[in-house]
Amino acid sequence: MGTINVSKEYTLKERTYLPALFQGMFITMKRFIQGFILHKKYTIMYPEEKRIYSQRFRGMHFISVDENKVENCTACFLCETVCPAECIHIVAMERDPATNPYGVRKEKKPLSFDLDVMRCCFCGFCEEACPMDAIKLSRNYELSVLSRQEAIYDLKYLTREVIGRG
Amino acid sequence: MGNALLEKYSEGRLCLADTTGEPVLWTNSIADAFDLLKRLHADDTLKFDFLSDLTAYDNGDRRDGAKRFVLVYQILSTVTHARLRIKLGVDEGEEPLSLVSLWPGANWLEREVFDMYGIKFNGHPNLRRILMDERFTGHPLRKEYPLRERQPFPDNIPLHLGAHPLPHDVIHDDIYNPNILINIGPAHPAFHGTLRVMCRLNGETIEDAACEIGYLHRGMEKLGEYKTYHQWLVYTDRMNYCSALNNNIAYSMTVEKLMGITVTERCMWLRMMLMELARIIDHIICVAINALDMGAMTVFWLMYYWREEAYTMIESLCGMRLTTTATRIGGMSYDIPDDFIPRMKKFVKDFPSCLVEINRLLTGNRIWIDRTKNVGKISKEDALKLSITGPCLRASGIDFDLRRDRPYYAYNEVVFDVAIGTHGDVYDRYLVRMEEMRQSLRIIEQCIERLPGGPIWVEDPRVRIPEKADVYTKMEVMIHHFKIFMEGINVPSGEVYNAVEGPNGELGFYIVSRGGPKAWRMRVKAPSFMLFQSYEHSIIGYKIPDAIANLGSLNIIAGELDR
Ligand code: SF4
Ligand code: SF4
Repeated sequence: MGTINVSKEYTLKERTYLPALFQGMFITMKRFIQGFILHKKYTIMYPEEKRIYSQRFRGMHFISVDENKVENCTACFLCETVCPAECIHIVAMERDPATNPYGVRKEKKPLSFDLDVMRCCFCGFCEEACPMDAIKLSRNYELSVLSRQEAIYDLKYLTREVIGRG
Repeated sequence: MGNALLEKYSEGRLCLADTTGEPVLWTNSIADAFDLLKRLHADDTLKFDFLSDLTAYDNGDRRDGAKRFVLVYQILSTVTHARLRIKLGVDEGEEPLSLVSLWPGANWLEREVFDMYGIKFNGHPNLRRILMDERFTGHPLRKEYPLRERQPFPDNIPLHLGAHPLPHDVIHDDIYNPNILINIGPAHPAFHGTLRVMCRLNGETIEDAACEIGYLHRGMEKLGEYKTYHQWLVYTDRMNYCSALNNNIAYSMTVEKLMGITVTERCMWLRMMLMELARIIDHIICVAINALDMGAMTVFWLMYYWREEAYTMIESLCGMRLTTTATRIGGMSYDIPDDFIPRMKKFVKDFPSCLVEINRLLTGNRIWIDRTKNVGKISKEDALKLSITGPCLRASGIDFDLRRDRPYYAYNEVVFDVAIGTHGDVYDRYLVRMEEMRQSLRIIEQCIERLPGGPIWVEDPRVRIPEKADVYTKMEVMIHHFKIFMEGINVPSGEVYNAVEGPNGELGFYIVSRGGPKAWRMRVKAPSFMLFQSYEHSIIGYKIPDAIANLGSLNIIAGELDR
């Protein structure tokens, strides 16, 4: 493991200026031909064409639902505790034991579940912490909204239908 | 450091070892501390020529001596590569002696300590607040300062020239004013990030300059004392956001050291690979933006294609491009996806073609050379005095790289060369960065080859986040899972300073733990801080366009500068 001194002195070739200029022009022309004549593209036509991210992408949140369209969340507060941005606010309630079809599996449920996405830093800790696989981050990265209020996702919005990870 | 040599200096002083066994020397009084540092600085065998960091922590609970605060000096030798931590207890109202006469780089560090703790330094040339506004009351890192006590100010600090007032005895005639004051930033397109520089111009030459920082201060170090070790990981993403992986890894490594955890082989090699990838991204950004600032748009387009490739890879690994949060204490958030290694191989194979092209476009180009050669020079001596690190230090001709000289992980098992320059100008910094990218590719190649199989997580119940499948099915695992997230990770008391060679310099974390899930003191030694301090000195005597070229080559990231 040695040391290389990369320092360079001014050489005559560099002083003459033209060789480097032609070299640069050559690269520019090469790229020009690639782009305009051979149509080699590096960009995509967003929004017509969407960029697809990997399955692990951390985008807009959702809460998964079970076969009866009931949220999987049991209001255990793990996500609220672990969230570094303090953007999850849950109010818990108990399900009526008489009419609860899930028994001990889902004794509690969130009365309200507000996620302030403008505070969120998309770390994914909530998903990692959730023991019910309820809160998840989808692959949807188009998060713009028209008002501040819309950026606070409530339970209804969070339990919208998302297939896979969106 | 040889213990015999240490003994020479520890007479009458308390010599302890921190959690990792690094020496910590407690000095007895203010004069003693200064005397010791002075002698160490002058010692011909130990050659402590470099002040890595100077910080303090609140000792309100008096666990470290009877004084209210503890000052911490981290010194380093770029020759023998030894590190030493020196501590000094100070009470409120006591004024420790300023180190500016030994290391001028201590200037900003002492200002920061003053700003955060209210400790005044005797003999400091310009003891003002640095991260906070001058009108701020209180000292935010003192334990009694509440976390959310914000103090908003409606306007900016007026133009000033730091410690140097404007000379008034110059005769102004109507046509020619040799003392024009200009303000650049904090929001200026050529100054990437919220950097502000105030200059005094004579014609087009900068004759005096002062930097004002803190516009992006988010109180990360304070937050480090209020968030759990696990939660604070996301803040490291937002320091040097050009190479977030590097910060994640450096931070996790520090906490692991504090807990005495050794990560698995696979995790280690993977982290090394990612750190080098992050270094490449950071250097791409630096070189491309530096060229862009000087009008070389092509370089920007050509290089950013590869940055995009690298980010796509990182996104497939951890789910985010910029703010990765990729590591966990004791492991990684995910193991690599199946197509990661083939992609990485392709990257390593194809990226050099980009470097060749950039080389053709810039290295021999007279316009580029004329714009960068002999611009923003920092001499070898100044580089040491101002404590700058990383590629800029090496470009000044100092052969020091933490990866080689104080190896962490398996850097002593991989083969690579350290690139150094001679002149310390913008051109040399560019050349050093280009060479470092090539060397990083070499390291990545070796990491790919040697990446072993096996688990990515260390099986330590204190930190291991259980597999999701087990959480859903097994009761004990579920309880353990709850415990980890509800209580956080319990870190034993102790302290550790751990530094890695970040893309733009020595990135260190100094954590003092008093037990429990939160740190007592979370200090980030950010390379940009010292680099921006040197900027004040290295633009004097040059023209404004040179200052822009200079800034680009220093690669200062505001998120890391202000924390
Ligand atoms: S992604 Fe992170 S910041 Fe956002 S809600 Fe989840 S835990 Fe909180
Ligand atoms: S989303 Fe998951 S972690 Fe959050 S309260 Fe519901 S079950 Fe618990």
